[in-house]
Amino acid sequence: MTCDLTQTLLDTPMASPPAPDMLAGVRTHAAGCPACAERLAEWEALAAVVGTLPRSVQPDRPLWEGIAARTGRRHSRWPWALAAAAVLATVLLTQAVVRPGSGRDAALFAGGPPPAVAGAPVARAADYRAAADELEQAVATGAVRLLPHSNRALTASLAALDAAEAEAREALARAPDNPAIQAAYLAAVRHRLTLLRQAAQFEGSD
Amino acid sequence: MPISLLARTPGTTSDSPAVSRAEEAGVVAAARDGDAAAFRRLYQSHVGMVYALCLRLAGNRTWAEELTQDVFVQVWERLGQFRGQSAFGTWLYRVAVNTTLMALRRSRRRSQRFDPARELEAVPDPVRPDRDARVDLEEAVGLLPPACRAVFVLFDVEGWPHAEIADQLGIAEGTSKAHLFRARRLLRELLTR
Repeated sequence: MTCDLTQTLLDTPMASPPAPDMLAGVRTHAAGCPACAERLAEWEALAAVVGTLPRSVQPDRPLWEGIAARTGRRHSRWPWALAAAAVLATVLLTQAVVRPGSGRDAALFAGGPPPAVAGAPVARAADYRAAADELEQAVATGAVRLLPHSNRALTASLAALDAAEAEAREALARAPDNPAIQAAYLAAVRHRLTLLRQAAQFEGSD
Repeated sequence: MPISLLARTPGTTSDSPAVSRAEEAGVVAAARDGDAAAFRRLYQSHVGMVYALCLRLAGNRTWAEELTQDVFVQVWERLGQFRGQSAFGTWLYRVAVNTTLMALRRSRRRSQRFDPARELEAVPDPVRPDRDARVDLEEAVGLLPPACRAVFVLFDVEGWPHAEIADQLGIAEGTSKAHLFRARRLLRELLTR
């Protein structure tokens, strides 16, 4: 039989030191109660050992290489996912911010995508990117003028595509033959050119 | 969540105490952006805490190593869910506990090694492998029946209340107390024989 006060102590986690007054109370009680004295001695002996357990134990062998191998295999999902998200964000921005505007703004983004260019995806992306750079330069120098909210939408879209392209390029450097990453990169660059071509159709219309 | 009820705060006990929380936040952000070197720093800071937990819950080093790797892979994949509202170590501890307990439950389904609801009657008391060798507490914990070990580690080492343990292990609170009583008795026997 264990008395209530002693049972309270036994219900305390060994890693958490009991309140000093509770421990003192149990000791006082145990001095006149052999059963509780035995329980107290057992609890204190084991608690003393548990209290020495280290919070940190180093594994016997290095584990990092195995973790790196597994996380490295899965890392490639991030860039193309981001690229896809950026393209989606661009489309949403275009539809939500620009299309409800004037007829001129609606027409600004009404053009179709650039024609497909023969060749490997990365080579096609380079062609698209060169054409897009020319158009972006035209917007930057004022050769192509846009309504302010159209300009903001275009700027936001291009920023999203910048991030997507950068991630995709980084991923391509690690896995140049990955068709999913190639496709994501091509989609981002092609979308950039589409946006800029549509903008260029309205040169001087502002 | 169990983490709110911990007697100790694991997040404040990393293997690299010199790293400030602000600095660690920067490392976490870099890792979340895919920086493998930053993630390796987080691993180096916390692997000791994770391995200790896995070792005590799993009861053997080989399985604990596998579980530790599983935990860090889980962390890598779920870093985007970490919002920085708690210390990174606290969040990591929660991932480690969940991953390890899930693995214990899977092992129950596969081999009946871990069945907290039936183990009290089903698993005989452990026998010290070498009667002449001294057994330390880590070894003795490893010799406990799995459910007794889980309850002892979560209650006496990690400071969880029985209600949380019962919830996590899918047992009654009274069963958790019974496992603890048996675990303490077995440990005393293993340590003093």
